[in-house]
Amino acid sequence: MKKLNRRKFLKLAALTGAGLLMPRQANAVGGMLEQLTSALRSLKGNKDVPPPIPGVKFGMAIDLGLCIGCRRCMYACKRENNVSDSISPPWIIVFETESKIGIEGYYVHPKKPGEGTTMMYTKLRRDKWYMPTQCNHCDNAPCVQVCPTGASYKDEDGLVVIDYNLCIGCRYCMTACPYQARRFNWWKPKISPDRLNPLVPVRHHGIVEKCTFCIHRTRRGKTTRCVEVCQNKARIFGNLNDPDSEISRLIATERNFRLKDKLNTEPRIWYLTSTKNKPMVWTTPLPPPKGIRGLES
Amino acid sequence: MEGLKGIIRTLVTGSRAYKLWLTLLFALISVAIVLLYKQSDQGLIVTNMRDPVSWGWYIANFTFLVGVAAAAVVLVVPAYLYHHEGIKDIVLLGEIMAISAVSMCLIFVTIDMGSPERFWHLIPKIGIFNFPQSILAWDVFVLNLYLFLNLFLVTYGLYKMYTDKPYNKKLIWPLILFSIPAAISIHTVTAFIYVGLPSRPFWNAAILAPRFIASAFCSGPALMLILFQVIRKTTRFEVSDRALFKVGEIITYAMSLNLFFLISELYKEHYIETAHIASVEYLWSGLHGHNQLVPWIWTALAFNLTAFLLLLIPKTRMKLSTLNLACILIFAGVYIEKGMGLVFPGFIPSTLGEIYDYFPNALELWISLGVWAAGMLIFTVLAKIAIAIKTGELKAAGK
Repeated sequence: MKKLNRRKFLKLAALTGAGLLMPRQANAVGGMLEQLTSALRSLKGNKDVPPPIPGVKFGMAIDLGLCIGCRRCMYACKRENNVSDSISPPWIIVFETESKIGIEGYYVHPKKPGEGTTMMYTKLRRDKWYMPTQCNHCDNAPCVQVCPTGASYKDEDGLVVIDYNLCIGCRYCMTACPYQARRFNWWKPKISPDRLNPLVPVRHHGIVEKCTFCIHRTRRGKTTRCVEVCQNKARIFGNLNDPDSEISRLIATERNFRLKDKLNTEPRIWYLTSTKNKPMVWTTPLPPPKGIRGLES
Repeated sequence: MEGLKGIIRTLVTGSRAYKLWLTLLFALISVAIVLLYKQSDQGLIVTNMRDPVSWGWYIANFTFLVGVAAAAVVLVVPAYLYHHEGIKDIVLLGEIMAISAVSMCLIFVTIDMGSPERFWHLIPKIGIFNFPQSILAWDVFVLNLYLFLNLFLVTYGLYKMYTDKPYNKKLIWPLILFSIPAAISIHTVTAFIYVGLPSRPFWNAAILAPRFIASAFCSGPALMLILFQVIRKTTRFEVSDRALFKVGEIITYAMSLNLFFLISELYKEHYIETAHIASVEYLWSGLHGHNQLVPWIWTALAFNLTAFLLLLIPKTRMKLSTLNLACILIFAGVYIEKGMGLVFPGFIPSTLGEIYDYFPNALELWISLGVWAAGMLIFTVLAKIAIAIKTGELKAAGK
């Protein structure tokens, strides 16, 4: 008798459970479980990205004398890394400056999607200097220090990586970053399906992202996309642990500076400044590619 | 069981004004819930926050309310360390206000998160709690500690009062003593969230934490003074004028410190105007024609100065009408100063010089109002129970 009662009870419970689990809630519960497992998995390492190559320390140099501000790196990065159409700039921002070094002047952020700013796209001028900025992958990264859940972490090969499964979207890292390198997903991802890169995860709304130094390429032996598309070879990417690599040689021999290194961030991007009269190509600037919204000037 | 029934009975019975007040609160909360659904569905794009100003009105309210919560200590110290009889009667209400304020803080932080359903990533072992590295992790810790400390002190005190049994002094005394540094710590740690950022020169100042505490001891007690008088008018709970004036005196000291710290801050920025002055300029005089915060901060300064003068003169401090005026001015003044005046300019211009004129939109304002209503509801419910127990109404109703 008792057994029957229990069986009846279980049946009833299962039925009410199923009744309560409307599709929406079921989705929420399923999502929760998925997150739980992915978080537990993440404790044993971030599975979204390939593991670091032992003995390698990545770094980048940008030759300010060679950058003509064509924004090819910006657009290519956006396509390569599945960056959603947004009112935020892509991961790379290129500044137009009066002087040869540093960033001057102020500019205004768009209020509405599609408004665009000068840092998105501008007419190229030979009397100006251009300075691309992106995540510096600092050795002493403020964003890693402040992240309450350990979603941002410093990996062995020098990359600052975000584990998208752990980010809670508190945006403290954006407040802490001195380079304005981090972007928040303010809305659901808007990417046309024909430009989806299967190697890069699509970030849902409510989490933070930034330049990864093309982690899906560089950890598999390729170079970053921005280096690949740069027509003047203003960008140099490589292994700093290797004294014979081009980047090690350039940093050692050319005059250079790092952005805001007085803040003790130890950035991994070196700006080369001693290049004068180097052969360079003044290509016509690319118009923003079609199908990517939020880039129009 | 009897007690529980009594509590429910106390909560559902009340004057017409009480019922109207509850209806208003529930209405505001419902509006906020509907808008929060929209926000969680579409993402934070529905707010006016953007990448350059990634924290806005929610965090401004959070920062201000941590101060209000910390201010309960203003009652605890004179009540227990100096045995001020008048304040001893009202210290319980101060602790209840702290509970409501911390609850509001936690709600504000939660609704500001992009993925609040992942809050459990902050639970050690299940997620990764980046403690002691991240000062935000410290804040989560101290805020929850302070909340549970006050919850325990209030429920324990009320239970003993209801059952007419004496306190276990060995248990309560250390907790009360501990609540003093705990109150200071919540506001200090919250200040340290801002201070510890070399990227933001506006916040990266040693004066920030002391100034947080000074302004907290203005705004919190100012709110208390007004609430106590409302309670005194509407219930049989007695609050002596002596206790009110004592709190007024404490606000005077705190406001003088707050203004002194402000002068120190402005001197440091203005004597040699380095590049780091941009945010201060944006706040006080406008930057490259962007000056939407200027009228606000000057209003706040005018309010604080007027209130300070009203409190400084004994004649106006010891008169309820002018004391109340000073309290209202201080509450509004510090709300502007510690809210939008502290949080927004830290982001403007951004670390790479971008100006984004942030101001909350209607959705953010309505949601925030709903959170305030939720806090008021917590306060109303807890205070009603506490007063019913203290005046013996609950026991009388049970019999």
